[in-house]
Amino acid sequence: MSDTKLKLEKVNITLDSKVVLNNVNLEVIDGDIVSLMGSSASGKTSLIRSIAGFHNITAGYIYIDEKIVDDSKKREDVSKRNVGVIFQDLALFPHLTVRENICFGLNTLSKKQQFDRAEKLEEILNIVDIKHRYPDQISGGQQQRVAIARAIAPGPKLLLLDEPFSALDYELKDGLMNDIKKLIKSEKITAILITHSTEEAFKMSDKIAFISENTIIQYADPYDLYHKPVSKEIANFFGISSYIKATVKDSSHLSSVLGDFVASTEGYNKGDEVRMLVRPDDIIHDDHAIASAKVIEKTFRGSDFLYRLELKDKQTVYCYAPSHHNHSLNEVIGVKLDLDHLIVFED
Amino acid sequence: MSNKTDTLNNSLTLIFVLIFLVPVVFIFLNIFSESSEVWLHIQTYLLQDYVVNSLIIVIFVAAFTVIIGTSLAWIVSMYEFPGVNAFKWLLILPMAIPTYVNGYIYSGLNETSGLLFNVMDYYFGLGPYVYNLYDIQNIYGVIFIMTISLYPYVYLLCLPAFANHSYSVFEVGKSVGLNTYQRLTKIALPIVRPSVVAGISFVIMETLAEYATMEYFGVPTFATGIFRAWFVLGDEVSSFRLSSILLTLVFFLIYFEEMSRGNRKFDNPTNKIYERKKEVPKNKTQLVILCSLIVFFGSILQFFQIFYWISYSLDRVNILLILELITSSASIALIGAIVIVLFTLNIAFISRVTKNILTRLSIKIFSLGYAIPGVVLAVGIITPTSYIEKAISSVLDYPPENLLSGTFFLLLIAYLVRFSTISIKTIDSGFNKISNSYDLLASSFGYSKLQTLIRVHLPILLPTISSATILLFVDIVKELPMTLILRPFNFNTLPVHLYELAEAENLSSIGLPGLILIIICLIPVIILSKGIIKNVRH
Repeated sequence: MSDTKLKLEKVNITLDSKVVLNNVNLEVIDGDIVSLMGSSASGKTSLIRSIAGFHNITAGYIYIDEKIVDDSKKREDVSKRNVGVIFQDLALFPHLTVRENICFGLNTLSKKQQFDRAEKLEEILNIVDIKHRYPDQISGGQQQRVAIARAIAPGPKLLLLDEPFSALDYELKDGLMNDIKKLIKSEKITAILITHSTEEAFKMSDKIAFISENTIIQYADPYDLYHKPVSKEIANFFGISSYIKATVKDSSHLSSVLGDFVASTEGYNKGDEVRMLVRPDDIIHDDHAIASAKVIEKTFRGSDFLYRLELKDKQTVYCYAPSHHNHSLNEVIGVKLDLDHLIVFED
Repeated sequence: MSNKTDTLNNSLTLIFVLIFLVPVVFIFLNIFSESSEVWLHIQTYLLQDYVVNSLIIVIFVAAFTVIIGTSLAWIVSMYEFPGVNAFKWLLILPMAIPTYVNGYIYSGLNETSGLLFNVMDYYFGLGPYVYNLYDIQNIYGVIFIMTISLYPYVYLLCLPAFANHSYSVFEVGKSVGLNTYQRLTKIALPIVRPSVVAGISFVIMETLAEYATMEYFGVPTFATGIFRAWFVLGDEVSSFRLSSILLTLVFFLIYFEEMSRGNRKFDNPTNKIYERKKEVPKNKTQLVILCSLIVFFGSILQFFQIFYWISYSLDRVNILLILELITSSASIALIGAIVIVLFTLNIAFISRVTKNILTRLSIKIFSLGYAIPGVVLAVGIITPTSYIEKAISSVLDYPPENLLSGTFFLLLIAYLVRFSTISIKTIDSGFNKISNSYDLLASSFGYSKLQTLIRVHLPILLPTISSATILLFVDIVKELPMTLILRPFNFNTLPVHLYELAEAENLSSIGLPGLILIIICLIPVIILSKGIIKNVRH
């Protein structure tokens, strides 16, 4: 048996006669947490709803555990897919206590089994003290934990989370994400998470699928999405980007205002003008560096500064520097490029 | 959902829609029947009175209720003066007194059994003078009675509209030099316009539908004309023609209300309320006097008169009869309320799960029931029923009398058509407030639609269903024209009994049954006012 938990093959989704997703392919390994990202209305929620079985696909196949659950003609009922869902609004039943909410999906088990399962999850998620309270009597973070417990209680094969952390503040979110990731991993559940926050995606995910122009345009681990984006859209989405002009010197070298660099220039001819992706963490402030740049903007961020630097040829790049490196505006500082790999886009 | 269930749901909805449409369609179809002599008589001598009186009453009642309702809502929302919190809900109290009861009470005040007559006679010997001083039973009296009975609807709709806007919008008006009057007309009134329009529509519909007050005051209007044409002059066609004119007016009114509302929203766009202390006006004594006068003439005076009548006729009270009336009124109201709630719950649920045009349209149709005046609905039900009875008898060779006519079944159908509006609006909006995520989640856990209804929707909707049941109960308890026309033989309710007493000019016996009816009607008023005033800021 392969270790693929979920597979989407050439999936098309239409909503109100409008094509939302087209030719989507995705393979999720058992136990992985995969984030779906993309701009608003890119079809993330429609995709997750189709995986859950709430929405029909118009073409393609959805497999769960190698079994077709939707081939656009026949759809396996949502209750038979063994999928847990956490909605953006959490959908905690207001008339049920925390314990009753958690047990809602355990109706096929005996009372004793329900009790044991709920108690275990309450302990792991640290909600034992509130088990007899109603959703309106607990905090937002606790509500989130209850929703997670309820979704995980029946032991789903697949957990689908639709922006579950969007309503929480940073401090609450951070602790909660740690706990939930631990729980998902310990329960060996495969999870698909929709989020708008790169921070959430980087923290939670083993892989990220980026949706644009009605399909998944890159599916990779968080490191590769940040450092090896396949498009400027992805590069900009996942962090601050600068694009420095460079010229192709030969099949493995580029020349720019910051110096010459080794890079794959496959597909380009000698002399072609290209743009090199430079992240703020690729630029190192070094007083002994040969290249220099002028500080034209600075933003204090607590532990560091984000500088906007003007290079000799008036191009600008961003650069992080520790907060004790407090340079003045218009000050000229030494910089060097520290690249692990170079990403090149057409000019 | 399976195709079978879908078909069943659609068929069920279609049957319900037919029940609603038959009386209306029947009325309009019958206007093409041949004109009778009675109709010619009505057309020549009476129709003008019906039209003119109805229009005069509607115009003045609408104007006065708007002036009083919006002014009072403005005063209690914006100013701080002694007793303002008590006035906020005391001003709603007239809602608990059915219009016809108000009519009987005011008519009886200067009668020989009346409070005013007796007080003036006892202390000053001026009883006969008071008796001859005024006669309220005319068109002006009707306007007065309808106004004091109906202004709370406008007031109640405007109150949250004023209060849910930040006081700062009025402070902006102040800062640019607008005086109180300009702030009211340039800021406040445009803000509450949708509430005022909704209030006026409701007031006009209630005014056009009012039968007992018009009849008792001897003012011929469409409602009394329809009743008279059928039950006094014995001419169905005339009754249908008058009904069709009235219904056309009502439907135009609904159309204009919808049009005027359009897509514009007047809610607070930011949802932020800047709380501050209310203004203390210079003329606070005048405000206290104004509110006190309205409370006094709107409800307190009525209680004095009712208690006076009770003391006046205590030795004549037939407790057994009163108990029988309470039982019959409560039973029919309770059964009616439960039937309507179950019916509307079913429709709203079908609409939620099937989401097709038919079910959405049916909800729209059921929402119009309340606009059909009771008298019109009753005549619209009787004739098709007699046709059905004749058809059944011809097939079964069974005498048709009383198969459906004069049965509780027909009465319940009438209640269903007219009062489903209250329930369907409440329950449907209750369903709409329940996130669809609940349904999806329940289905992911393997719950069927019915299980989801029982385990999720019903517990969440319980408060909504309870309020709908209470509102329905009270509306049916005080309903008069349909019960009067369609009730089974020998079946009496409190309103019918009050009507009969008033018709027999036995006003002094109205005390106890009137008080009981008012107390029953007070229940939803208290619930409503509690809920609305709790949500009103300041």
